[in-house]
Amino acid sequence: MIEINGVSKSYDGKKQAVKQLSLKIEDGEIIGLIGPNGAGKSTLLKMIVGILEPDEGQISINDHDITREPELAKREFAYVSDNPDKLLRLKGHEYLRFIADVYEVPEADRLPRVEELTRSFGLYENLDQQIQSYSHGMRQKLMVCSALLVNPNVWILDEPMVGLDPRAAFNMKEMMRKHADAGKIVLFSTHVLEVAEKLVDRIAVIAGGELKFVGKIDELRAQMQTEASLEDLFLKLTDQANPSGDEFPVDLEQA
Amino acid sequence: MIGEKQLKQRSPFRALFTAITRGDVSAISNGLAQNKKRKKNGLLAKSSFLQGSSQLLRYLLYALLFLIVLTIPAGIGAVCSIFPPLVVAELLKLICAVFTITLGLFTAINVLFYTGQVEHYLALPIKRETYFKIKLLQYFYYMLFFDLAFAAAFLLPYFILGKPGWDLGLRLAIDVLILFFSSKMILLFICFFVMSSMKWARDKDRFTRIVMTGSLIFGISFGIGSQFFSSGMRGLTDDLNSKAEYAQKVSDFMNSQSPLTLIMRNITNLVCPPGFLHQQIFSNQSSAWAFLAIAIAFTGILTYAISRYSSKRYPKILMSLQSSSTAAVVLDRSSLAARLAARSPRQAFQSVDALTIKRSPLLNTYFKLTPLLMPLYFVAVIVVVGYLNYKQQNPSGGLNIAKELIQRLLVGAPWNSFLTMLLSFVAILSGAFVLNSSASVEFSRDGGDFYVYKTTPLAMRHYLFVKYSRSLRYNYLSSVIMIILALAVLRPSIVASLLIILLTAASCIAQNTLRLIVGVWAADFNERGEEDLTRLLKGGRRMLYDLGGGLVYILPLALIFYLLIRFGGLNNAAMIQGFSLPRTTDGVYTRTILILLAYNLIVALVASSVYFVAGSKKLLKK
Repeated sequence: MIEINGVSKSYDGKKQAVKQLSLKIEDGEIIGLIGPNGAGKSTLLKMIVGILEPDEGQISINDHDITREPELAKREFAYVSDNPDKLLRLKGHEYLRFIADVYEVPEADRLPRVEELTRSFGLYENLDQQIQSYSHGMRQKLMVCSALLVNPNVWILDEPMVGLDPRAAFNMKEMMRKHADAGKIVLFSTHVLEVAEKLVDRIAVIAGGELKFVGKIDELRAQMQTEASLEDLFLKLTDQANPSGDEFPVDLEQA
Repeated sequence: MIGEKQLKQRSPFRALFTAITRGDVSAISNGLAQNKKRKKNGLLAKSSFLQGSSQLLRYLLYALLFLIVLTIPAGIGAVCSIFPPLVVAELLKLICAVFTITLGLFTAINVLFYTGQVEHYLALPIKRETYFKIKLLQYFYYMLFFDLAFAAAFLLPYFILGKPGWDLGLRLAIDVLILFFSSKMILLFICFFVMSSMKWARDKDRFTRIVMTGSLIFGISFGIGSQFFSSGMRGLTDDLNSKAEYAQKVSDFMNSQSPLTLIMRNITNLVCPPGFLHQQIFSNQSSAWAFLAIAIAFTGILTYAISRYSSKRYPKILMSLQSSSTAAVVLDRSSLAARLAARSPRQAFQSVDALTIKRSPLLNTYFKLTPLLMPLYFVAVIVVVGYLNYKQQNPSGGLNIAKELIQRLLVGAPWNSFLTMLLSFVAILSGAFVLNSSASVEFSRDGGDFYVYKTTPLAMRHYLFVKYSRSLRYNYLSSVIMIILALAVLRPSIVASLLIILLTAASCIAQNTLRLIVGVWAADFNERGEEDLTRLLKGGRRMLYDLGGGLVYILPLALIFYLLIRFGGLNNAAMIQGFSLPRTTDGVYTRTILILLAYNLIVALVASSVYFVAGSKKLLKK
């Protein structure tokens, strides 16, 4: 279980990127974090995984506080960041080995899992190349493979579908579902509402650093008394984030 | 807020020029553009104490550092005031050629070919010539800014103290200007020749590895060669009494036809072509100005011809750099299994760190080659100096030469005295202080990769330990080995040897840890490309951090020395007595060594505790 209690974060001491946010994520669910650009999704995820320290509030993962017991908390999750350009001088298998070593994945499990994952993501043949020679999509696949290789209780994925080809995206969604069905948590952020609509058990909508809604999409429809698509619901819910209030900020015909 | 001013129409040249100079954070830019970007994103506040400080303060510190650096050429210029302009021009030509050869090629090729965003610019509807012109301006800015500041700092005291007269002075100033400018044009030609005809240069990694290793080897050879050169000059001027005589002899030597001076003069003339006309430009004949005019005209023609040559080749070379191909080797099952064998998290990080350094040519140069080769450089220079001195005074030679050499290196003290040990300790540690300073950027070099380590369960103490042991091994092990070698030759008593080894080891640990502490607190883990690493490694900020880490160690040490001299009996008379008493274990020196040992042990212990305990907490907040 992930518990986020009254968490706030400001980068400059003035404007708050995340404001007094509380959220509880139960085992066995996929929760999608959606919101406009700059809403605070990545900031929230970075606080959950220990990259950023909250100014106030607590975050615990399976009862381990990320600030007070960072190592124990980190053993509970694997994180895929929104930027896969990491450790570019390593070869694919060296990166996977490093992750497996740090998470202490048993040696006997490594080869079958690496084979299965990298073959399913079409990466096996590139494992002996340096990551810097990979395309953006291949780098993203490698990061996803490393998180799946660890197979911890919680997956935290920041924009995991970006750069993936359709087959890899399909595999990814399948694996997320399986992971949740096994009683574990998948927390991911996305801009692709279609993915969220089809995949998640609950959505958390963030705008302006605040949690606007948490629950099932049907609950959102009921709350807003409409049968509209998630896209329309999202636009209505995050309308306040558009200060001009215009439905469309630029007149395209004139432009 | 964006207004009309920000969206005002500009020519493509101006638009691209602004984009390149402000937005394109290249390998050698000062990084202000990036700082602005980070400040805007609100990330600057959390990075480090120096970045958090006001921009004005940073500018002031950099300006101060720059002025301190310029005191070196100013000092040389003042010393050279006894020489005629021809000798000064020859000396500046030599300096210019050395700058151009050692530092120039790498920076130039990076500025012209390996900066970011080239792919983007190539896709814009802008003439290729326009892009070349802008890059050429950028090239001259980076290549000439420091050189001209150096020349100005050199010439100013020379003009004031040497009083060469307006005629000769003006000729010298113009000559120096065209010397530096023409050397950059020759370098431009070399860059384009290398890039268009040599395949290895188009692989950035291979290019960096070869050029950086070559520069280091050239630096070492130049250092050693210059000792022979200065020894030759000393031999000529040993018996001279007046400055004028000295100046005349040096002048004659530099213009002589000896093979060494001929080779050096012609090589430097090829790099700085106006040097071929130096004799005529600085003669007393009326044709001197005419020859200067010829040198200027030649520089103009050279500029035109090389610009044409380069401009034509530029787009082709840029496009050839955009393609990359790697031969894929598919691993079979058993090799993959072997490559996935389990290790402890600490071993895993150690291996990742070592591989990253090994495969990144820049990191390999700064974090492996330089700390390993620089002590070698100093040993080589010292041995040459010792050898030359020894040869001059006792040409018979013999088996005792090594012992004699070390004795001479250590200020001529009779061997085996504690004072000799003490001085060797101070000498070697001063060397380590000045040279082995990569510790302060040991953390920042990880850039965004740090967040991979931070989001995994890798314990921060393992991360810190790997950095600690690596830095100690590469930066200070050579000092300990040098001390042990010196002891093996000098053979003092076992107690003295053990004490000095212990002192050196404790001092190395203390210095290394203090620098690493500064490194942790100043660490800046922003996402950066490898080209930005150069800025990090060569930048003024790193020099300030080094200075900070070093001062924390040196200032209390200076205080201890002061107290020892003031109250501990460590005075000139005692020193002279120490020199004259071989094998002494006089109380003053024993006490001095023990006090220094105690200081270093305490600093090493306290600093290590701070480093591992507070360092872990600090890194988790980064």
